[in-house]
Amino acid sequence: MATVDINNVTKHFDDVRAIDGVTLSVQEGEFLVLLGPSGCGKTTLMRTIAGLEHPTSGEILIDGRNVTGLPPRARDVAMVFQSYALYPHKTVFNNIVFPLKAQGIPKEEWDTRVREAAQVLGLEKLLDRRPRQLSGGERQRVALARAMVRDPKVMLLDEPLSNLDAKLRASARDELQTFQRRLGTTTIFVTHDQVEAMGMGDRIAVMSGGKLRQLGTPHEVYTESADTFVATFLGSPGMNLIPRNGYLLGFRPENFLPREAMPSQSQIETFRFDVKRVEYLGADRLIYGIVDHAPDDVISIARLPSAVTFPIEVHENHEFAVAHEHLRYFDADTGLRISPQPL
Amino acid sequence: MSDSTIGTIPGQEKPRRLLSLADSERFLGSAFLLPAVIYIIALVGVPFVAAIGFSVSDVTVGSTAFDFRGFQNFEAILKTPQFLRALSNSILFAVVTQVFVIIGANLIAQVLAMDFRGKWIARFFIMMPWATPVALGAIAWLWLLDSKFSPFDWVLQRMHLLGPHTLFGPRLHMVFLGREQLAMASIIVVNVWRLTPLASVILMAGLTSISHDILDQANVDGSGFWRTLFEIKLPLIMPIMSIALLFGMIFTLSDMAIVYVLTRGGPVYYTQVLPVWAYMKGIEGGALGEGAAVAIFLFPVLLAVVIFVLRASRRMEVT
Amino acid sequence: MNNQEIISRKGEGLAANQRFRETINAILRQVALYTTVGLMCLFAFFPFLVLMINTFREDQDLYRPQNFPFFFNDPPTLFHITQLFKETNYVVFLRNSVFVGLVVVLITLAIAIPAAYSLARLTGKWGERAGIAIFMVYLVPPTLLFLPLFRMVVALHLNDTIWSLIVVYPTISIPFSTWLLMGFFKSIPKDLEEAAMVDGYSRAAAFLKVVMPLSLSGIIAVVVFTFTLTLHEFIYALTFISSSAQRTLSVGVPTELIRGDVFFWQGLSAATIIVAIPVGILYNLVLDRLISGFTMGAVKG
Repeated sequence: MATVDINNVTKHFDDVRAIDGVTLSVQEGEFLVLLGPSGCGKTTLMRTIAGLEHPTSGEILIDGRNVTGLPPRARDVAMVFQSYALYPHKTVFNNIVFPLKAQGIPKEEWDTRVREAAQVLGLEKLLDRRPRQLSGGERQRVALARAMVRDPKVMLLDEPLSNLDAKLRASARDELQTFQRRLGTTTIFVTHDQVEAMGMGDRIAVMSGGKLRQLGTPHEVYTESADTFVATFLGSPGMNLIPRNGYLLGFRPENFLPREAMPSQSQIETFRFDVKRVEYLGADRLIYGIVDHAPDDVISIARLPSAVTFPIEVHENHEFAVAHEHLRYFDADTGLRISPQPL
Repeated sequence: MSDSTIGTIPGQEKPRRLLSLADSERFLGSAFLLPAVIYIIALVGVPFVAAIGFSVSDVTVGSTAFDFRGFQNFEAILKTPQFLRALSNSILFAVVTQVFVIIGANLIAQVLAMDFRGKWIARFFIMMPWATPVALGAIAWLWLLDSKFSPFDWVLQRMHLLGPHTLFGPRLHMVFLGREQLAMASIIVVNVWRLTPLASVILMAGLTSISHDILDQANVDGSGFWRTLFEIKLPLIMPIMSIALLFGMIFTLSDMAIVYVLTRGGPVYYTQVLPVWAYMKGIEGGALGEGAAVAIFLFPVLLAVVIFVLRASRRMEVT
Repeated sequence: MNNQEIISRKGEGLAANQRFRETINAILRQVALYTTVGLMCLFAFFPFLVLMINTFREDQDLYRPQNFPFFFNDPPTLFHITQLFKETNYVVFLRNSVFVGLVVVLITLAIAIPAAYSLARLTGKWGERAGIAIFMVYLVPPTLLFLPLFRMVVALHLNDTIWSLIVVYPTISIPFSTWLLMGFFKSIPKDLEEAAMVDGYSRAAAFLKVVMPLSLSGIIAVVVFTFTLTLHEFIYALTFISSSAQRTLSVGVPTELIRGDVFFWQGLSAATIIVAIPVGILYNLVLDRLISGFTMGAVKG
């Protein structure tokens, strides 16, 4: 267990700024998710923490110790790659024991520690197999066992669930989280999948363009998004943004409901909504349209739960509303969150 | 597969038929492959069979007569002292050469897989022995090993290792190619010099095919340079290393240029190898039948090498 | 608080210490790397260095054993190079070699490209086996075949002409080239051809318009491989051809410039260097393609 501090780290590849001045602290035992679209620098940041890349500037501290410039083996971190990177020529046992050998852990301990790790992940019966004889889920568990076996200070997971099929992914998410809680190892998890991020992270660090956009609990980053990037990246679909009086007014699709469906006591802002398209998704309905006074190319979306049975037709001009507490305000130029503005 | 459906459209059969040839995988597959197969059968298959035929006949360069002689050619060859020497030399040269080649090539491949300044020029220097025609490369060594003018002699003399009252003395010259052991060692050195670049290229191909994730993983797992080399990289390139070994073995066993240029099998016949001997008997001596019989002895040796290497590589892949 | 500060400062010191050691290690690694590279280059290249010097040495300089063997003791001379070009058949050898090389390259491409494509795409499972079989043919060495081939060449009245080599060399180049190209073709996604076929091309046209341009680097590798192979070949060239005017470099140079016990050393050196350096450069230019060819063909197999 350890803390990880990233102080103003930048990483340039030739002219590309993969990481652009990121400062971030990970607490002991925390499950931190680095979330962002592909190419946002999250994987580079993780590799920098692992020591596989060295920052152009800034420092990295693990457990208060400055490890900038040290090779991976001096950092006591474990990593699970997206491809799992199992050694194809080694058995499961030999895969898991490899970090112990490499770290110079006494031979007597190998067997018990490997078996312990294998037991935690339910791999006891697979120890003699080779990676290519394993299913995707089994490979992922071997990779996790190999990561945990030497009890690292920090575990780094690079999209470890993206190679699993959808069904397996849900259960793997659950297993992984239980596993992390049980070990209590500080864990950094990279993903581009917001569902994974929201469901698993103690805190989420949202990145884009090499910069850290927001750091907070899943609830914070979702409801109190710090800028328009975070607001629109999170949620499916993301937050609606409507230009108004020189700022951007934001509200989430699930808070954008027909006037009739709003609880009567709340303070609301009403909009005339020109419905262009209705998409029926089973549990929800998505209503696409243009809000009155908004430019034609700004499509807003309302997401009505199936409990709202109110009929909405295409080409209808209907009155929709958002409760005041769900309105967010952003600077039109910087995209940063600002205090409530006059409506 | 489109053939049957096309046939059912009436009146359009003929033009479609022609069109379908350009689309039929079966037709194209055979048509594309045929020239290569014919070429190989005509100029590898036929001579190969003919080689066996020659070895049991009395064909000579001059005559066109072809009389069956049974195993007389083989008996004649087996009786000569040269035979065992040439056979064992061929095998010895191939094996010893490959030991050094594989070690050297691994080293070179490791080094050239790294990034450093001047890599291009280093690679150029290292690849030169392979890029140069064998016979011309051997000529370069012929000078270096010359009985009178060898630069090595000059260096050894200056280091007081050669000449009267010295380690290699009392002669003034090593006469590398005129003494049995030295001549054999020289031939091996030149073979190693020439074949190492090829093996390096093959091993480099193997190294670049190892996924970066695996190497990064080893790095994060705490593995240092040597452990990664011996526990990860070498086992992973083992199959391709066996291909390098196969190439190298066959090239040394079947090459005649180096021995032909350097020693012509001498002194006496101490560095004789099967290919050179076959040439001397078959072409220079005019006895094609006996020459072919000598060359035929290469075949079981080559076959043994191929089978051994392929089996070894398969075993390595399984375990 | 105080305690923690001390601990963290101690940690800092340790880390700094370790960083220092890493820097030293990095420097040592560089030194080791360049030493190793230097030694390798020396072993590989020094015969050529000696040749380069020898080319320009005067007879009385070269043939005095006491002289420093790695540089000029007398002023360098161009005499022997002029002699090589004017008084020997060297230019003829060069011309023959280039001609043989180019024609063999064309034959090889014409036969190996369709064969490789057939094995990669059209023949399915047994194509894979046939691919291995063809590769095995490459392992049947000329040493085994040169005597019967000599007889065949005589029967075809090709002996003592470069055409004998042009006919026979593709037997060495086709198997390897087919195998190499097969790897390249296999690495091109099938979707691309299928898209072309859906767009209205025939199977054959899809191959010509889509696959060929994408395999250019493989084809270049084959060209260089085949050309150097014809340049290197020794046994057939020695066996089939006896008159000087029909010889190629690899046999012509040693037979023309070594007359019995008389070696024209400067000429031999020049003849070797003039061929070796350009071929070496050419080889190095396509080396990456050869490597990727190997990776695609062999490693996957």
